[in-house]
Amino acid sequence: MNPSTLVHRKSPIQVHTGGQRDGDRTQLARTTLISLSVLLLLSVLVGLATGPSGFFVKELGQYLVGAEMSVRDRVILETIRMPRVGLGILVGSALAVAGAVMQGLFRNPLADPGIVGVSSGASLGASAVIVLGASYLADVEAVLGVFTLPVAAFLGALATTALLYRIATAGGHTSIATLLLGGIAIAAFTMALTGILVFMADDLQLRDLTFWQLGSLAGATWQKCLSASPAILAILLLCPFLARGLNALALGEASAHHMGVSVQRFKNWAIVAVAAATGAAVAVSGGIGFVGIVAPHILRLFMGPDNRYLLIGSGLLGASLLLLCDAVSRTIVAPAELPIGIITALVGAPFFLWILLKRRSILGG
Amino acid sequence: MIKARNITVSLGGKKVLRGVDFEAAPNRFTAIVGPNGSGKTTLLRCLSGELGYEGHVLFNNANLATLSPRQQAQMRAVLPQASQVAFPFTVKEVVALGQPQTAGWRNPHTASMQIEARLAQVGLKGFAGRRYGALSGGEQQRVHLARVLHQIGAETNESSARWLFLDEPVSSLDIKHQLQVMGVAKTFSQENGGVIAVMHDLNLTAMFADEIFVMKDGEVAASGPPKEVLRTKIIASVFDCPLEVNVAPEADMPFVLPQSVQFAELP
Repeated sequence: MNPSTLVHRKSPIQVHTGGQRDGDRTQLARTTLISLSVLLLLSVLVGLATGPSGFFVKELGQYLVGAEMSVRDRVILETIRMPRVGLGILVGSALAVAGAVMQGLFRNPLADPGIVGVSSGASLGASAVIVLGASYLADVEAVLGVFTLPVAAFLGALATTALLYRIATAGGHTSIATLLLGGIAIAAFTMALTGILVFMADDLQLRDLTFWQLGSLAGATWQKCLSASPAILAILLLCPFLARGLNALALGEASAHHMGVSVQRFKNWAIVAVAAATGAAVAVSGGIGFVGIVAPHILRLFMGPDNRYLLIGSGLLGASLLLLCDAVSRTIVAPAELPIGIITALVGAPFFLWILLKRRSILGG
Repeated sequence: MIKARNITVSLGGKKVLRGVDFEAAPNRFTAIVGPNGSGKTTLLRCLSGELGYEGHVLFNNANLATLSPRQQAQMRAVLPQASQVAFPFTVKEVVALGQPQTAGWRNPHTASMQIEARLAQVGLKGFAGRRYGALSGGEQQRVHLARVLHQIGAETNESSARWLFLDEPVSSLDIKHQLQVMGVAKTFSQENGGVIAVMHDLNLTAMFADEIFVMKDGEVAASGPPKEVLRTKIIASVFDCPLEVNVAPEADMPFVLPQSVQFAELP
């Protein structure tokens, strides 16, 4: 039997094998990861060079080689742009990895913390701190300090993710329809609770809330980076462990068990990881959506769904995408600044639809 | 050796298995047959550590309940009735997923050759680069057979027996590939370890099994080698269907044709 005579499917299928005839995309994945690292480096340079006080090419060069430069430029680089780039890397990688992990956990490429209401849960936790931080939660804030906001957001995200998993998964099978609809219900509920908090807020808190909810890296400080980094770095370090379990889970929960994964324990870890990454990112940057959908999707199309490369790659690509979007947000209406959440949604939502339509044609619908 | 004693399982308030005793030996092909809903798959799911049970299962001299999923995965692989792959993996990548978690670093070239060999073994030579989702159901089933062989079939220094659990391995295959897959399983039982298979096709069971357990209503109705178990009296009563078992003279092997049914006696 000559297998080539059996192939009567055309290009859309070929895209998914990355053009590798022997079905092994390891080399392709490694090359992609190296390219993504270079892309991230370039994005960092773009992020450092861009801003309302001018496009720093010469200044950046001077800074990097340690040459003489004006105090003003040095301060701008060190206290404004660097923390902002640092925060962009943390948030972008966290959102993208959270998306990729969630998609693996729910075995569906449409799952994303932003879409199924996990970010709304994190928002609720964070809003509670912003509005009630000075009154009811003063004691908590006194203990947790800069970590109050991330911890509150994490708890909100954890509660929604765990609830969502319980709703959408029955007997080892996850229904995507239940997942999306359950996500809508949870998001509606948490947004109503957030609405109550907004109603209670005074004018100053209201301003904080609104800007924060739009999603932005503005006002990045080293302190914000510090408050978000423990959770996010922990998740990034967990990636290799998560990748193996997620790969096995791609064959279903029963098969994952057969292949030696302690399924329930692994799922608990994955849920905590998604919640921690989403919580930390939402706490410091608000509602930045679609990074978790766009980055893993592009990579799956390009180098396949193997999570050993996908998670790390998503982290690198998510960070780069966010830095580039942030550079656009700072220049497009300069000297004012467009919240980055608006840009990622403007780019991400049509992208999401495009993938949905493409997927439908591949599925023969 | 796998020994299950007095296994009882309740699912949704109903007793699906009632005091089942089951045994399978290495280097034997042990088949579990029986009508729909008789508890065949439930028994297999107990043995693969998926379901809680009352009773005792001795798995290679260890209590199954104390073995971690990882330890179990080193001793047995399971081919489910149907598998779904969530993302656009290639055939080769699906087989590679079976690579034991404990294998550590392997020479990529060697691993690649092993996967090609597994695919050839199940009649999928040249399929490595195809996208899994674009294959037919029967081809997908054979990809998973290659995957479980990859998980459990490799040479190790482990002395304990290794097992292949198959849940209706040939139900979605054409006759050529039914014979091929049964042949692969038989070879595994002869060379590498034991096979436990839930089967529907009595004739393939007669042809390949060394031992047969016949289940009915959550209990073992009969057990033994094919010629002792596949008898008109047993089959007709277990399946509640007036069939006649015959013996092919040349092969001295029992067979059951649906044509032998006595329609007048069909309940």
